[in-house]
Formats: sequence, structure tokens, C-alpha cells
Amino acid sequence: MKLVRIFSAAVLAAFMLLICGCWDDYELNALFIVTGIALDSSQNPSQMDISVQIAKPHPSSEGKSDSENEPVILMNTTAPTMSDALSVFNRNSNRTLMLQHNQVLLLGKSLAEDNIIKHLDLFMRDQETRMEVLVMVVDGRAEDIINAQLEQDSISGMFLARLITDLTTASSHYQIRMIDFVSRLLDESVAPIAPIVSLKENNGKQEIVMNGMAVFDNERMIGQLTNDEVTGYIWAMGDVSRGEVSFSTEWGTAVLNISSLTAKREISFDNEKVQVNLSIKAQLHIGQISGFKYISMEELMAHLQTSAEQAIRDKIMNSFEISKTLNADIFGFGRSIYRTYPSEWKKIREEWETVYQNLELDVNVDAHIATTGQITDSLEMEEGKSAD
Amino acid sequence: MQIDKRKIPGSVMLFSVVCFIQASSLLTAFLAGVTFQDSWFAILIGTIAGLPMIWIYNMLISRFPGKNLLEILSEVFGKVLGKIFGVMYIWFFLTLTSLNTIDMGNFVKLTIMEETPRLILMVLCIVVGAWAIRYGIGVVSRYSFLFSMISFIILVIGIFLVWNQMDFKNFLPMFTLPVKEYIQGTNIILTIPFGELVVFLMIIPNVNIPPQKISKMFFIGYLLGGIHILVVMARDIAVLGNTIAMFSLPSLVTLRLVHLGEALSRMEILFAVVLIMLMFFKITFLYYVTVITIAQFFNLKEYKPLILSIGALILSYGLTLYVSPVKHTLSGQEITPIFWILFEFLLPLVTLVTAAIRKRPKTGKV
Amino acid sequence: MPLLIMGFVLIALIDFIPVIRKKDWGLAAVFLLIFVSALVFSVLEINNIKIPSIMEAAGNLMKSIGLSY
Repeated sequence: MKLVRIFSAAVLAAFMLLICGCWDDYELNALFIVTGIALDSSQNPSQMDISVQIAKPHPSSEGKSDSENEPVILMNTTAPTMSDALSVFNRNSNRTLMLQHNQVLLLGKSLAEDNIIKHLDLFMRDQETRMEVLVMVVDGRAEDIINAQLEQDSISGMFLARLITDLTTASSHYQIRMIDFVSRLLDESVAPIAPIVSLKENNGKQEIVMNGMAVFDNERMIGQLTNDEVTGYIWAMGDVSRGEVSFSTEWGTAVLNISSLTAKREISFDNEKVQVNLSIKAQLHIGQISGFKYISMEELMAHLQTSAEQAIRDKIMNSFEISKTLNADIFGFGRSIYRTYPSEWKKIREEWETVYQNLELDVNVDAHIATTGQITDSLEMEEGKSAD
Repeated sequence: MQIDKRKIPGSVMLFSVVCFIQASSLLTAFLAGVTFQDSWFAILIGTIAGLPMIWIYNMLISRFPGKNLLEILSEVFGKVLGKIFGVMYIWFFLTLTSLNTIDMGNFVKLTIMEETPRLILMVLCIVVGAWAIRYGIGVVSRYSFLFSMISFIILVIGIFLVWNQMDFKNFLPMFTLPVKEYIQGTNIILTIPFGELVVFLMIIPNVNIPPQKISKMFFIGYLLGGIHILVVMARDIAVLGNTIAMFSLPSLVTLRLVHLGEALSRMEILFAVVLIMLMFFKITFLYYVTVITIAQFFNLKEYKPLILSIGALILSYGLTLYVSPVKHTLSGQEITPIFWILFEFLLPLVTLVTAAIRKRPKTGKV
Repeated sequence: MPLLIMGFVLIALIDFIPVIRKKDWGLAAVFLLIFVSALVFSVLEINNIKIPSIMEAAGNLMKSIGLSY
């Protein structure tokens, strides 16, 4: 009797392993793994050009060189919605498209400026697409990025994902995933943003570079920030662990590296106006300095410190002014008010746009320069000393 | 007269209670759509507000030692009224089982197995559950400790995995919603995870420890379960922020967002494992209680022949309940919390009061 | 449809026959009650005939009294 039991248990266990999920089985060779999706505006305004980048699994033989075999397959079609496009793709290929590993969602600039938000609904609703997909705007046509043959990475979708991961080590605010975008969209005051990338040709080789950030309102893209202005935004948001502050004064030029930068907001109200006090604490160390003849070390450090503080302040204020011209609260000041003073927020939320225009931003920077690197005085300072 | 005379130790009952409540932590979407970032607070208040309810159950347990709910109802209200209430509870247990089975079918199909027909998933669950029930309460509740522990461990792992994505500012602003929302939220928590514990009143005779200890077990299990849901909700609010109300399964999205390097990402398999484990346990338990209640109501000597038929009834009846998941969620937020109060709170309270007035049980022992 | 019939026949075979053998008529009655209800529900569902939902009816009732949020 016991033997029968053990035998039946073993048979059942074997069944469990074999038939488990048999309806939903995915065999790797019957799948197309999507690594990038590009949406562009089409000649027909109610439709989009949709391109999909599919990563090919590596060929089994090692001898082939990469330039002979294209590592990606590209499919494109024109359709009114993403789900229509997916049905077309699945119909025209012998494998099923698997979206679970999709890295990026690229939006062509003209599409983003049109009425992009309604197209994003599918991406939130479908269980296969995920909230961690990175959202980016392409300066130009998104499908060019998908089609790009890069030197650094054979699959441009993976390249972009790694690019953002790398930037995230500098500051977590570089990373805009679908969930971050949606979170900003849901909040009526905060403006959604997304990095802009563009394709560049360099000696016949293609490169993808990040070219600032796109700013959206509730329906479409309304403007953009340059890379410099993006830096100001990143610093204002805080949580920075890498960056550079560079400035030149009448005594010399300097580049200081940021090892950490934190930002804290304090909100106060002055009659009808909102005042935001942004206190920045920065830990810097000297990257390179040139000039500064005839200056002693203490004077230099003090001078560098004040100049760095000024430089940081200027950059942040600059980005703030740009955001005012776009009338987009990219910094999320509205959200901060809602969180800390909900009753006050209720009063001003209807006229947030006007309130934002009159918002006073007060930036206080406290910079601390730690080390000086391997050499202390600059070469010219040394010159100056020995010339005495 | 109980049908199933087998006994289980008190600790098994404790962990069955915990498992039961943990299974409802997957249904937090009901609550998140009402109280948003204050949902953790609604759970806290709900846990505290549920204490009187648990107290009522415990009073019934100590007043009628060794008797289950149907017996208590007959003794307190007499044969006719007792039978009427009995039928009402039969309907209640059957509906609970069906709703949970449908939920499980929906969740699994939606998240993990999209091609598999929902019916197959539910049939499999019921069939395996039926098999367990044949062997009595011992088998049904035996794995409670294991499932409980696995859920706790996965919860803790989950917190570590999303640690770098938690933003505690997402809890702000606190306590700014209209009071009605908090009442509704507390009501939802009271009736959907906690109130369903009334089913445990059917298996009290099967727990072989004295009544005071049973009360203690009930209470501890209740608290542990409450802590679990609280932590799950807090974690999801911290990670998802204002998007939490958008998702039908917030915990799933939280785990999908895990990204610690390339290897530790897309961890929703953890969610899937916990989901299937806990829902299976809860469904089997409710199924068992339904079978026992029906058999006892008709004064039958054995319940085994009824198991599969009741299973078929659960499935077919369940399919009639809600045609669309949207209606289900809406109903779960607006109507069900109030409706369930009748079975989970009012009737037990009335029973207790009537028992005191009519001086039941007749032996005079209190 | 045939699968459904097969399923129910299977249930009857496994569970009902021992009951008949034992001549336990009370049990048989309850069994039939449940079995037939399940069968009726299932057949109606398979043929997509809409069965009024108790929960929805209760919900409407409660809403009309005002007992809902």
C-alpha cells in the first residue's frame, strides 16, 4: 500500500512539472523579445507609425562577426493604436511578440507635440507592458533610433536602458519610467518630463546622445530644456551623487566635482505669493583649476566656495526661469505645497499657473570643498610662488 | 452535532487565521481607491475598530464551549429562527467561497496565465480543495503555518527589494480626505479581511484547547494578520505614490518595479506564488466551512458525498454573481461592506445579547 | 456542453452511488438538491443565458434604501 502511495505521489509530481501552465507555455524559439518600441506621427493624423525592435538571440557559433549578422530585427507598421499594431506584427511573423523585456518607449517629437497622452493609455492598461519602461522623446523620428547601428551596443534599446542606468548613478531624477511619467500626469500641477535623445552621425558611425529633456502638459509636449538647464533641474531636485560645477572668475577658472548634493524645500506664504526656500548642501572637491596666480590656499578655498555657490545658484535659477516661460512646474513645487499645506493648496490650485509665475524661489547654497585632488596649488599658483 | 470530529491544535488555528487575513492583502485595491495615501491609516483604524467584533466572537466561543455557529444559533433562537439564520449563513458562506474563487480565477488569469481559461484555473483549485476536504479539517488547515511564514518572508524580501524606491513623502498629505472616505475605508477593512473571520466560528469545536486559549489564538492571529496587511499597504503607498489607485493589483506593480541591478528585476513571480498559495488556502477553508454547514444544517451523518456537488455549485453560482470585474470592484467598495456587517457583526451581536437575555446556554455555565 | 455533462455524470457516479447503496434517503435528498441546482446553473451559464445575480439585486436594493456609500 505504501509503495502505491509513493508511486502515485511521484507520478503526480511529474505531472505537476510537465503540464503546469501548459496553456501559457512560452518556448524561447517561438518568441520575439521586444527591446524597444518607437511611436511616430504618421501622414494620416489619426494613426501612428509604430516600429518595434526585436533582439535576436546570439547565434550559436562563435566564429561569425557581428557586422555580418544584424543583431536586431525591426518591424514596423501604421496603425491607430498600439494594440492594433501588435496584432499586425503577430499576424505577420511566425513568432509571438513578447513585451515583458521592453526597455524603452520612444516618442517621436512630432507625435509628442501632437496629442500623445491618449496613446499612452494602452501602455498602462495592458498587463504585458510594464511600469518600469523608460519613456523618451526623440528629436526627429523615433524609428531612426530603433534602426540605429551603434558601435557601443548592438541593440539600441539596451543601449538606452544602460545609458539611463548610468545617469541614474549621478542622480535618480534622470530616470523617467512610465510610472514616474504617469504619476506626474495624474497630479494636476506637476509637469511630466522625459529625456530627449537624438541620433548623430560621427565619421560615418552613428551615435545616440542625450539632448536635454522634453516638458509636457496634460496633453502634449510643450517645450524642452537644454542639457545645461536639465542640470539646473537635477540639482534643484537634489539626491545628486555625481556632477560638475564649473565657473570662471577674474582670477581663474575651476571645475569642481560634486560628490553629493542634497536639496531641501521650505514653503512659506506671503499674502498671495508663494515663497519656496531651496537649501542646497553640496560636497565638492576640486577637479581642476587654472589661473589663480598670487593667491594663497585659504583665500583660494574661500573664493572657490563662494563662486561655486554662486554658480549652482545661477544654474538653478536659470532653469527655474525657463520653466516659468514654459509655465510648467517641473520641480513639483505644487505637489510639495499640496503635501505640506493641503488647506492652502486648496485655495490656490485653481490658479496654479498664475501663482507659479509669481513664485519666488530663494536658493541658498552651502558648498563645502573637501579635497583638492592630487596636487594642491595649481601650476600657475606654483609659478606665482616661486616667482616671489 | 458536528460532522467532522477531527481535531486541530490551537497553533494551527492561529496560523489559519493569519493566512486568511494575509490572503486579503492581495485585495488592497478595494481600499486604495477610496483612501489613497491614507490607506495605511484606514487599516490601522480598522484593526482597532475590529476588536469589538473579535470580542463578540470570543464571547460566543467562551459562552458556548465546544459548539459551532449553527448549534449556537439553534440554542439561542430556538429551532425555527435558528434554522432561518442558519440558511442565511449557508448562503453567506457559499457566496464568500464563490467570490473568492472568482477573484482567484480573475487574478491568476490577468497576471500570470493569460491564455488559460479562467474556468480551468478555478476548477483545478476546487478539485484539489475537494480532495483536501475529504480528509477533514486537519488536512485543510495543516499548511497554514508554512503558507503564513512564506508570505511573511516574501513580504520582508519585497521590502528590501524596493527599499531604494520608497519615497516617504508619498504618505503626505495625511488625514485631509473627507471623513466619509475614512469611514468607508474602515468599513471595507472591517468586513472584507477581518469580518470574514466569522467563518472560524464553525470550526471552534475542532480546536482541542480550552475556550480561553482559543480566544487568545483568535486574537493573536487577528493582530498578526492586521500587521501584515498594514505593512503591505504602507510599502505599496511608499513605492507607488499617487498612482496606487490606478492599479487593480498594486502589490504586483510594486514588485514589477524592483530593479537592483540587472539580475534582481521584475520580481512579480514572488507575488504570483503568494497569491496562489494564500488564495488556495482561503478558498479551501471556505469551501470546507460551506460543506460542513450544509451537512450539519440537514442533520446528515456524513458530508463526503456532498463535497463535489457543492464544488460544482460554488463554481456555477459564482459565475452568475458579477458579470464584470468593474461592477465587482465598485460593489466591493460601496455595497458589500455594509451588507456584510449583517452577517459579521449584527447577527453575532444579536445572538450574544439574546443569549444573555434568555440565559443560554441552559446549563447556567457562563 | 458534452464536457459539462461528463463532469456532472462523473460527480454523480463518484458520490451518489454509495449514497444509494447505503439507502440514506436524507443524504440523497440533500445531494440531489445541490446537484440539480449546480447542474441548472451550469447549463444556463454554458448557454449564455443570463441569470439574475443575487449580489447585484441586493446591491440595487440597498442603494434604493440608501444603504450605500
